[in-house]
Amino acid sequence: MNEIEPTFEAKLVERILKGDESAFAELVAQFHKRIYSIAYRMVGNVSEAEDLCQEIFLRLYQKLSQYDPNLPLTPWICRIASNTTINYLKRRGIKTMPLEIMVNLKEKERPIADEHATPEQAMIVENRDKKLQSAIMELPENYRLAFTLKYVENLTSEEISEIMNIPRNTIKTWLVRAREALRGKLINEL
Amino acid sequence: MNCETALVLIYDLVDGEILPKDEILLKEHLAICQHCQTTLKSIEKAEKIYKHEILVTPAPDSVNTITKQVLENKNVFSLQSKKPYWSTKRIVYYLGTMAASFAAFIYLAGSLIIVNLASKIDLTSAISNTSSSNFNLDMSFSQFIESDLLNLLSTITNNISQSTLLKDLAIILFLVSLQFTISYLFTQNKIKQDNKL
Ligand SMILES: [Zn+2]
Repeated sequence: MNEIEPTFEAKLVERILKGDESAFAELVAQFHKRIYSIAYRMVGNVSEAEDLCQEIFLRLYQKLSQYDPNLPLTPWICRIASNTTINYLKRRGIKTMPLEIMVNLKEKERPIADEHATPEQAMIVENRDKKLQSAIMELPENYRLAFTLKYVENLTSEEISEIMNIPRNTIKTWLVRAREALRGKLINEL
Repeated sequence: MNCETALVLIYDLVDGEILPKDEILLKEHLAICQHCQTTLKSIEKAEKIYKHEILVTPAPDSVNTITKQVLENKNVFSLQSKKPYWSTKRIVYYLGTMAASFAAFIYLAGSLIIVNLASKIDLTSAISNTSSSNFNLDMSFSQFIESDLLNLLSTITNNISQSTLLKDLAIILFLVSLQFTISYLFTQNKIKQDNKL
């Protein structure tokens, strides 16, 4: 998660705050795949993931003046992503799509799979991803967020604890439970 | 060490967060426990899947779409709820707060007004009128309302001069507008809390 140097990050933010729109496009380009992945893993479908992803970047833009340039940008962005996601899920509340509908979404509703060597391999990965995503959706939201942050951003339990503002031991417990539940669902793939 | 404890340590191990002393204990357990060896292998495979397949690729034009959307809506609170300011929720909350604070004001200020009014009328005569209609403890509340309270109220209204009535109306008006303001501020604060990051 250290693709950009802190000084570069600070300069980028400074340019955005001065009204440089291309600087904001750079920031979006830098983070959007990871933010989108968090959003998709948390809501489980493309259209809501796109909504949530935009909402996170909007909040990011609005909060940018509060960013302390002496601190690394990524954890700060993760905190905004995490809070916006929690709020989004809270607001969405009961509108949660039933799992069967989510898993049987039509092709264009599924995210574009990452490039894989052969069509066969791509097929295997896609099927596995369907199973993984439906298993992720069965997790409680707090487990799901801790799990998603860990793997999308490659974070330690300490870092997740700071982002989610939850004690580290609780995060560790959530991560063990989440992964044991997922492993149970993916057992045929292992 | 039992297998349950070992499982937690296996996750610490694959996360690279295991303490050296725990690592020694875990290795000792793994050496003698077939079940935990299998679990470790399965967890390691699962970890590979999570690490390599968690990322999903957004639509190709999404960087432009997001940038454009955000810059166009930078002053909107939420893209999801680009609703008018007076949403149903806000109105319901506003009316609710208003009703609640109005009730509180009536309770507190009402007694003050009554005292204020009572000082201007011949309360003794009003009370003596009511007690003349045989007020006693056995009387039900509805009976009291019907007979004595109406009697008392008519005596009060008859006794208030127009000027004092206007003065009291002004006080009530002031209190009502005050609680309008308070409920508005409460509503604002509540909505802000709802949307807080
Ligand atoms: Zn064991």
